[in-house]
Amino acid sequence: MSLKEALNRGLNDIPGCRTVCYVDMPSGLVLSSSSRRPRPQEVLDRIAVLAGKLFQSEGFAAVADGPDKARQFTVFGQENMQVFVQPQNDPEHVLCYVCDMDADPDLVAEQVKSHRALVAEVF
Amino acid sequence: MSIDQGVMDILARIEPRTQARARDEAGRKLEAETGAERLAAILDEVADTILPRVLQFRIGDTLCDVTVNSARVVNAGGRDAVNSEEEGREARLQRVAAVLRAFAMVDGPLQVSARPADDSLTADEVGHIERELRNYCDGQGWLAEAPSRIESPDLAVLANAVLLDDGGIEYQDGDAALLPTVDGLKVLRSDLDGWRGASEPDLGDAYWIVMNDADDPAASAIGVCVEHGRTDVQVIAPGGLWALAAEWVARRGEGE
Repeated sequence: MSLKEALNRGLNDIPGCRTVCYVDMPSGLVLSSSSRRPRPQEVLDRIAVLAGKLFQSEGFAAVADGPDKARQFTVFGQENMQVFVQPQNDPEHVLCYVCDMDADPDLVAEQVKSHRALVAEVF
Repeated sequence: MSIDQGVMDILARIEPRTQARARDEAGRKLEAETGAERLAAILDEVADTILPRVLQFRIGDTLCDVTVNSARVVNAGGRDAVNSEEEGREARLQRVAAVLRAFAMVDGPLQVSARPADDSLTADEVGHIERELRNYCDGQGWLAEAPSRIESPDLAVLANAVLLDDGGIEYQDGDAALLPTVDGLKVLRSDLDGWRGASEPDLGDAYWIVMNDADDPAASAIGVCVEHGRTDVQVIAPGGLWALAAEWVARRGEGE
């Protein structure tokens, strides 16, 4: 399965998901994405910036429960819910899911967990 | 001329089967209250279906068609479980299980109806046997009862502190021992201040970030809520995210 196919799978399987991105943190670029409708590049760029901010934040690292745990961030904004998680054994990349604001966060988290494992199988 | 007893027995079974078929086509309610119970009930129906059938499950207005042959799922929710050479068998199994699981999580009474499957269904379409699906779902913990959700937003926060503009921290509610260390909160405050001054990321004036363990998303979490010029740090109880998220969405809907 290709990365693109894996992202398409996430778009279909995660409740209320509008966009899935695969971000390279060192370069700050969205390497691949899948979306229900075309997204302007600047929107994808903002998602990549936020992913880097969250995972490179010393503040969030300082308040995390344990340094070895894989962190997952869910950001609730004005219009949507975004979930950020690093693929297993891949600290330089981040998977980002933009979901409807009213999507069930517990179910989204559960499906993200499965999708994270699926993406890990791609590489 | 007397009729053979064996024939009589067959005739006696025809009527109940006809009734059962009519009942299946009309739909019947399955006893299941929770998502895990609904998923188990769906798998039970698959196990009991030998002839090629399309089982249509319904929860309220949500439908999920599952094509079954010899207790094997060959199609679920419109997605083929067979004949995709590019996709490995394990990946297909996970996908089909995820479809059933997502449907079962819809809240409401579960019903099922059955109709004969399309003639195009062939013996080559092996699909996934019910036991295979059940083992996978069991391994994911989907057949176990999920931790109960906390309905009240107030009960969902175990501890809360406010990060003050002068760099100080004011404990508000709950058990302060559960909160991150003061040093950690000060570093966090510094980070958030840096975000506020930067043009990116564009989070707006109100946002709420929840950080949890990616391997155990149902465990307790740390929340950072920035709203009305105030920054709260929360320790969110297991099962508490749903209520807080609902409250957040409601506040957005009120235009606050």
